[in-house]
Amino acid sequence: MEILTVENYSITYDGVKNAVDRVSLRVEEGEIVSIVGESGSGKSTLLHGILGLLPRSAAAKGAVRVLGRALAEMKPAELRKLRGEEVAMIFQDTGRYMNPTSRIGAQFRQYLRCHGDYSNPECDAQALDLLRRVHLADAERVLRSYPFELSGGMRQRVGIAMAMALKPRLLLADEPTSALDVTVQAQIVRQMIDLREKYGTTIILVTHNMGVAAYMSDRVGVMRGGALVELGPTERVIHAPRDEYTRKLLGAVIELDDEKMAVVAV
Amino acid sequence: MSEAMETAVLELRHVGKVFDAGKSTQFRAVHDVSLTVRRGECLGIVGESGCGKSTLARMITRLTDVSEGEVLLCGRDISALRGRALRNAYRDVQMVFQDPYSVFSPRTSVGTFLEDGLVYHGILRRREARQEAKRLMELVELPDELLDRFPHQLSGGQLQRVVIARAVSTRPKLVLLDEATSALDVSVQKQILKLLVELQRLYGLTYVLIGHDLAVVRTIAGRIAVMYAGAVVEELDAAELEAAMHPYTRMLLNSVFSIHDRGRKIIDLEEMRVSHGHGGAEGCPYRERCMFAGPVCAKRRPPLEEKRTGHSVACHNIRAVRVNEGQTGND
Ligand SMILES: Nc1ncnc2c1ncn2[C@@H]1O[C@H](COP(=O)(O)OP(=O)(O)O)[C@@H](O)[C@H]1O
Ligand SMILES: Nc1ncnc2c1ncn2[C@@H]1O[C@H](COP(=O)(O)OP(=O)(O)O)[C@@H](O)[C@H]1O
Ligand SMILES: [Mg+2]
Ligand SMILES: [Mg+2]
Repeated sequence: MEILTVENYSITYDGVKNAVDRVSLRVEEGEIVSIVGESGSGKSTLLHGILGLLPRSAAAKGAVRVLGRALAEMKPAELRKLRGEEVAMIFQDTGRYMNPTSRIGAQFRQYLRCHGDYSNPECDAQALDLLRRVHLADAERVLRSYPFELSGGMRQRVGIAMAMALKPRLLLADEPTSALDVTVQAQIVRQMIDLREKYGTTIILVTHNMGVAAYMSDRVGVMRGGALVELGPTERVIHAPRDEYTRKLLGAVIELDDEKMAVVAV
Repeated sequence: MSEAMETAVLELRHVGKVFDAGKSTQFRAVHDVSLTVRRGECLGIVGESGCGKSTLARMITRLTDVSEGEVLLCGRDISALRGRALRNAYRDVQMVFQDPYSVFSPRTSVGTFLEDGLVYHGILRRREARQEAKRLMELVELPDELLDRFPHQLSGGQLQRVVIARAVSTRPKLVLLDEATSALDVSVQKQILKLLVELQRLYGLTYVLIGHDLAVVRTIAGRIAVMYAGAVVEELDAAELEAAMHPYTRMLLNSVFSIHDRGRKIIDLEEMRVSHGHGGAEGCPYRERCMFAGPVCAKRRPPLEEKRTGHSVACHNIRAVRVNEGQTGND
């Protein structure tokens, strides 16, 4: 089943040039698609557009269908319900999107109850398990905390755990691990893959880490100047890129086993 | 063997940093670090955020006081310098940070920024400095029209080049690069790294390159020190990285994704244990995350010991690490 369809979709801010430029993309249920590209290429704008989260200064053209429903025809309340129940999102700074006046534990309960009539202790037990899986130490204390009482990195992991609690059909993740340490990043990558394996979650991941994109996705898309300049199966894009810009981007990736850039002491 | 006799550019002897953390409690952000960097070398320092990399760099540049130990620059202890002597020492040690916008005043033009460095350190007079600024721009491959521009009119990559130009303009004995390419796009990052290598070749510069990306650090560092919770847990040649022995270094290596990894790499959740903090004053700081930790690890902090020539490790259980690597063929 097609879970997301984006057709000839463009977004402008304040009427000036396209931040997203005629993008078309279809994503099947259970797929993992990564979008890579340099900063300013329109990745975040595209994701915000898909979620109906664009600021007022933005104007969108073209069509987006999420879970078979046209975004343009959805009322704000319907959109919120969709985002709260079936579509989850993780941003680079997910903490900013959390409810600041509610403790982490209470926010978890709300999410978990989308899927069953759990008691408070049952919710807390599940929440603790999820928090431990994103490697948060002292999970009990985290549950009792308000978002502002946690560091940025902790909030990010909480946000990821919350998105997992939703067992979403569609997960949109915008640079979810860019601010985290590499060991934690590896954890989160593993968690996202598990989410797909266990619940069939479809994932769209925006990242500038080509290694992560190559590791976890079925298809990779490359954005440049708002346009999706390349989209194809991961193996093909990595090993036989068709677009000149994709080649350049891949050429710039620094790998652990790269030749050392020669340095000769004088 | 004159090389071995030559005084090191930088020598850290048992350097530590203690912060006051509220009433009568103290937090040791850097613990007993001893490192040596020779002329023309590039030492890479890697480790997760909060492990003390920047604090160490800030002590070397004296942006913060040195609480414990000695910092020797070309054989001279600079850890207690004040006033004019300190100012002279600054000229010899330059630092480049992650965010180039943070070192610029928004109303200072690129040209003025470069000239100020030269004038402040008494290298040139204002008149001559302009000419030198042009040469510096050429050196970092920027058009000299940019000299009249202001920081917000330049991209992050261009601005970082300007910062690097100023850093090398005083012919420093040592340049510290603290996550200097972390905020840049990959293609820009690679260009900056190439520039750094080129400058090092031209001037015989000595670098300390701090970063969280092992692959990046490795491409230009000759030696690598791995920090965990304020301490150096392993030090080795960059070329020997695959032979790393400390469980934390092994985990770092395992966490790097290659574009050729698809489906091959195994992320072992068991191996990546939850951290409960820095593990207290006694014992190994890594023990709570370590799958090899035994009783001795809670009792004694493992000293950083040379296990092979040029390869030091702080771990009580290296044998266990090796056996495990052998069994899983995880190399
Ligand atoms: N709120 C905004 N108002 C105006 N322009 C914006 C806004 N957000 C992003 N842009 C511009 O849109 C383009 C795409 O930005 P973005 O989607 O954030 O790219 P990416 O996520 O790939 O870095 C950039 O040129 C950026 O400056
Ligand atoms: N001025 C300060 N006062 C108190 N604690 C500090 C200060 N600066 C840094 N720290 C603490 O010291 C530790 C090391 O920080 P830092 O050197 O910035 O790490 P890194 O650069 O490796 O991310 C952290 O726990 C940090 O919170
Ligand atoms: Mg973005
Ligand atoms: Mg730092």
